[in-house]
Amino acid sequence: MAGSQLKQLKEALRSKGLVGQTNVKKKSKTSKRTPSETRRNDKEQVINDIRGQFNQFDQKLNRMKRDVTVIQGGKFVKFGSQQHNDATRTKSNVQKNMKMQYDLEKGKHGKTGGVLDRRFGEANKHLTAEEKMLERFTRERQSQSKKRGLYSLESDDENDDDDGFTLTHGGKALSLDVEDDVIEDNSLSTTKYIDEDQVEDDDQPQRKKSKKEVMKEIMAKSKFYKQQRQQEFQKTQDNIEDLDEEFGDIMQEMANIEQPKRPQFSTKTDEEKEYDTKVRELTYDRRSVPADRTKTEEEVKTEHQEKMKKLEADRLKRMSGMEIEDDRNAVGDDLDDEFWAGSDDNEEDGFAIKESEGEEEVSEGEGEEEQILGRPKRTIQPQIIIPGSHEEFLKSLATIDSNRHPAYVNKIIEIYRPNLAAGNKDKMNVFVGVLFEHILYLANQDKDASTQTLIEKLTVIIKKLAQLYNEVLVENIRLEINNIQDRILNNDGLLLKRDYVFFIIIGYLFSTSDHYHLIVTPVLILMTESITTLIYKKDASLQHINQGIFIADMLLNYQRFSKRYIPEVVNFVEKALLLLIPEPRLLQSSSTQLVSTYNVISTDLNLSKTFKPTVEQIGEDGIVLSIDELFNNSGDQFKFKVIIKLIQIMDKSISLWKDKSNLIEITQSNNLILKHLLKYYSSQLRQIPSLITKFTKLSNILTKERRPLTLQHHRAIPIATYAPKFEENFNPDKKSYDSNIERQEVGKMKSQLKKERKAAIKDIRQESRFVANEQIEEKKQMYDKYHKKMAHIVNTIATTEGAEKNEYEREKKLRKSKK
Amino acid sequence: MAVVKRKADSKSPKGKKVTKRQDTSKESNDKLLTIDSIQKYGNEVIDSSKYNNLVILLEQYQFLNDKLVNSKDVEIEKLGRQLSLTLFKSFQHLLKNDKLILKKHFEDNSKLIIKWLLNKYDSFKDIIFNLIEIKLSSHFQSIQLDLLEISLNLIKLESKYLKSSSNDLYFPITTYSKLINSLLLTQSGEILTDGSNNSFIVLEFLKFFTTNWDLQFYFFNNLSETLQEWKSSKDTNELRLVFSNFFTIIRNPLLYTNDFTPEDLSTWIESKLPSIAYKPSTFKSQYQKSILLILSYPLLTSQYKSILLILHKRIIPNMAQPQNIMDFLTDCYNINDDLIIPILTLNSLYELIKKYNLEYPEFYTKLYSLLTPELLYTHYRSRFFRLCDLFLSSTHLSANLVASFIKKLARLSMASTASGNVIVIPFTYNLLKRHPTCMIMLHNTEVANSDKEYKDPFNNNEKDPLKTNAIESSLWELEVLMSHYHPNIATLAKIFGEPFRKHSYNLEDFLDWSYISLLDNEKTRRYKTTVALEFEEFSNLFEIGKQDDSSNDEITNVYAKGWTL
Repeated sequence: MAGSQLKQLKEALRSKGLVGQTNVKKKSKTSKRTPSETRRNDKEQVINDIRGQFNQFDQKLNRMKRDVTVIQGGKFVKFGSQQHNDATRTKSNVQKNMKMQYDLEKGKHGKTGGVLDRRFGEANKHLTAEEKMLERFTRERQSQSKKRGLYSLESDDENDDDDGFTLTHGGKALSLDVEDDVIEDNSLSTTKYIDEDQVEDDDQPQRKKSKKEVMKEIMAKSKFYKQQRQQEFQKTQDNIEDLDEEFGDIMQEMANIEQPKRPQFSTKTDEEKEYDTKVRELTYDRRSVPADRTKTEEEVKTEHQEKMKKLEADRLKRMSGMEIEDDRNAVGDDLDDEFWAGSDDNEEDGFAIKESEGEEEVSEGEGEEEQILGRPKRTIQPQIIIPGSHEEFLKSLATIDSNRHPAYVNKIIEIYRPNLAAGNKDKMNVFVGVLFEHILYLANQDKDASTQTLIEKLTVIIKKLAQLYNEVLVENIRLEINNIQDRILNNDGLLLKRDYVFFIIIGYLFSTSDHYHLIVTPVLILMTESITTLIYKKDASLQHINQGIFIADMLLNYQRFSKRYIPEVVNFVEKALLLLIPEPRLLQSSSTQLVSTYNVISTDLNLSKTFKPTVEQIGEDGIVLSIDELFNNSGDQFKFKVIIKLIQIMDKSISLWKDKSNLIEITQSNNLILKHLLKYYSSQLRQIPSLITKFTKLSNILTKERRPLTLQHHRAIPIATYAPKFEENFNPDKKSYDSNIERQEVGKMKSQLKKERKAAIKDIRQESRFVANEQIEEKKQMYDKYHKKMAHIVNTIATTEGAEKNEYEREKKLRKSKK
Repeated sequence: MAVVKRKADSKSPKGKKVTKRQDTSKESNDKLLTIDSIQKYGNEVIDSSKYNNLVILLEQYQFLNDKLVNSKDVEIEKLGRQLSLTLFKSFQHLLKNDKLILKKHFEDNSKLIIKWLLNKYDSFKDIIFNLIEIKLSSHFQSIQLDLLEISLNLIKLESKYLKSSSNDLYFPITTYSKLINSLLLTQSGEILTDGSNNSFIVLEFLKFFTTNWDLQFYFFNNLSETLQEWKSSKDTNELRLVFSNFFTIIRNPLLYTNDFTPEDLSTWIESKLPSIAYKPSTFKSQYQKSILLILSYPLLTSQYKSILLILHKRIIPNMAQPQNIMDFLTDCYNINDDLIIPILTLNSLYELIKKYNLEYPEFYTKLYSLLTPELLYTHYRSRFFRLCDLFLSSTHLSANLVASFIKKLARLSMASTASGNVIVIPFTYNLLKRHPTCMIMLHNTEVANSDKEYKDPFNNNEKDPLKTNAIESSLWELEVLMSHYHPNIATLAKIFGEPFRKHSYNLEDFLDWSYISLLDNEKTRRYKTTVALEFEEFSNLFEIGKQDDSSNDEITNVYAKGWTL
């Protein structure tokens, strides 16, 4: 293309057939088409194309020697690329738009809002004030004279009941007469406002209501009712307040009124009184209820068996250390029932407290029992006071024969059942502690024929109470544990008789097979501590050994079900035997087979080899020792008894742990000592040979069975790998690989929000900057204008002055020349 | 007396008076002087140089001696204290006035007097030391304490006034070593259970001893010779007493450390010490000599224990050649009838091995022999296991050896205390972790799956840990511990049946348990739910006596079988 821009433009327009003469061919082609919407669009596009051709810089890539990257529209853009150019163009477009917007707003500035004067002719500048007034007056008159419209649907007769009712439109009455005026008015007023709803409403009142209307109505109604309710409420509130204020006065009034005097003594006769009491009592009488069917013996049996099974299962669970769900309350209730039933039985033994001080003559026997059971409230008299401490208890027991102590205790428990009166529970809590203390106290007293049975009976009672008063009992026992530990540490390791009984009672009361038990575990530690102090005591006495055999036996008792292994017992039994047997030095040669020591020494406790014990009759269950005996005996004969007991314990322990794999070594060591004993007392200890064969057999079986351990039978542990994680559908544009769709969405939304916010802020800034620039520009222009104007004025003045001056000069010359 | 007379002649003006006094003193030979008269005599010595009064005063001690041992009279105590004080003041006066030092330029006469005075001074000191040495009745301990202080003050004075020239550095070695001898021989205290002595004099002396370098340095000076002499002349009990006193004095840390500057240390005497006292090498060799000698004494077991307890920390660093103590340690280590002594020896042995490159033949065999049933019951088990862990920490030890230790410990755990078991389990775990070859003792599928006859090949009698065949055995004993009566130990033992994921157990957490701490642990537990009760019913708590037995045959269920009240 050649020529100037203008020529080129003309050429281009012509070639497209947009302007001037077009060549024939093309004309024929175009003329075939009728002008249409599409064609017009075509035209616009064509013009745009031509415009584009002439603005080459918008499209051209500005190649540079090196690539320069700029940030444009939040993206890295290569300078001079298509993108860059586009972005630049859009930017200029934006600028243009902003300019337009700004101009528009500037134009509007100070021209919107304000009050509109709707009065007739106010805005019309062509009317004079008089004309306006005149026009207004005529209108007023017209509206007053024509009361009824032409299209009024009212009857023709003159009764004017619809006074003031007119159809309106736009707040103005509708009538033919004023139609012209309305039109004129419309042309005059710049804005008009018509309430469509109102208009329609008025137009056609019968019309079916729209939803909006219905809703409006409902809202209005509800508002109305609400207000009504509020008013009512306010009213009642006020009333109440008034009443409250006056209450004091009323009370005062009432106090002043005198009451009619009542007779001081009941006028009722004895008969009436008796009748009243009978009636009252009747209310407490048990109503007849259909009794539960008596269960058959079999049913009772199966029930019992099931209960036992459940208890057994619980015990096994506890043994393996699993926590069982706490459904023991039911069990507790069961026990409770049994307990009370049991106590009734005891009552029938015919025990009654001497109540000779009381007014009533109390007869022994069933009659009284029934009375107690039937109406316990009446019999709770202070004859039996629940003891608050052990001293009190002892005092109250002092007057009672020792055979009747258990019954007395039962009586107390019966009377102070926690469901009979408030506070009984606390009293009983104290009493359980007292009772426990009392048993131990009894054990510590000198031996008496009846003590043993008494302790037994009281222990049975404690056992029954143990479920209900569990926590108190546990607290008491824990205190006792502390006491015993003090004794072990400070009393040369020697315990008292009460501690022995304590150990028995613990085993009797609590489930000693548990993996962990709040009471049994510490007691076990205590007992093993006690034997351990004996084992390696330098100056152990026979007393120590005696204590040890008892505790060792009890420890085995504790483990009779769970069969846990107690190393200290094994050690103790052997060590104690070594301390007692004659000539232990002879065992030194094979001492490495012993479990307790490699270094056998003889002490003065050892029996002499010349001592010949007299043989005692030993029952099938073995020798029976009494706890009392353990404390005072020290002779050789007694030592021999202890040896027999030790062998018995040894036997017991081996049978208990017969499936432990380390038993081979223990039996080996035990056999060694037994054989040594056999040398001296083959005639006195007949059970030894059978024991030896038993142990040897056991050991042989175990030796055959024992195989090397294979404890590590778990799945192979994989080696931890730390290989990098591979993303299969990796995409650099992808922002997140989160599999959770919801979270992904949230993330997306968040980032979008952030982006939008940034963009908005940016826009606002850009706009305000633009506005500021524009304002500065405007001000500059204004100042320029002013200066120019001023300069112009000065100039004109100067020129006129100059002209005048010239005129003057000329005039002067003229005059001169005239002269 | 001859000297006295001559002196009396030479000093005629005062001589008469002196003789007079002598007469009076002869009269009062039988009875003791009063406090006032003692004071008077003392004042006369100081004010008017009546030196013969010293003789009278010194004689008093002879009368006092018997009474001091037996009587309880308060007067005698006062008297004794006054007497000592007066004499001290007199001699202090003499010392300050240079009356007790011989110099060449003195005249013969004055030399004679000085010699005489010196003689008296020496006898005074001898009396003091004698009194310190013997056991007085408990009421006169104050006198002994006074005497100790006097003798220490005399040392101070001597160092100041008895030196040959003013520039000399002098420490009265003979006086001090005499004092030390009497302190070591003192019978005022008794040997305590920990092998030390409760003598109040020794304890009082300690107050001065611990803070003053000169007292410490000269304590060991020439002590070895005396100790040697005593060793041959005295009997066992006396030697033990000497040791107990010695031990009481030296058991506290000395002022000597490896990087000390003796010049900065405080001293008892006021002037500087002779340069020899500042040579660490001299001190070390002196120290070593006396220590070695005293350790060769026949000691009590408790004394062995207590000296071994401090040996590696307090004593070995102070010795010139610690290797020389090796013989003593070996002897201790080989004591068989008490397990604790060898255990305590281990610490010092380790110190020697580590720092002084000592070679101990068959160390592990000896260590292995310490594993006896008593070990887990001793108080010192934590000390042993701490060291044993150290000795077995090398991964280059033979698996046989480690296996023997593991197996033996397992054996011991079969009859050990709960606290012993608490140590054995993690200890074994750590060993197994360190020596995975020994895992075969826990997991041996080869033999277990074969039908062959299997007999435990472990030889418990074998002394050499390399030859016990423990590696072919298995740890059944530890398996049994899984059913230990203490729930925590049972749970702990179960780690052997689980994968060995834990890197190692921190042994310190397990070493110091005792029954008391185990029980304390239980006491803090709170009551939560109903404590489980025994549901089994027993007809009786105790065995019923025989008379009942005959009438009623069906005693079925007795809780405490074989026991009656």
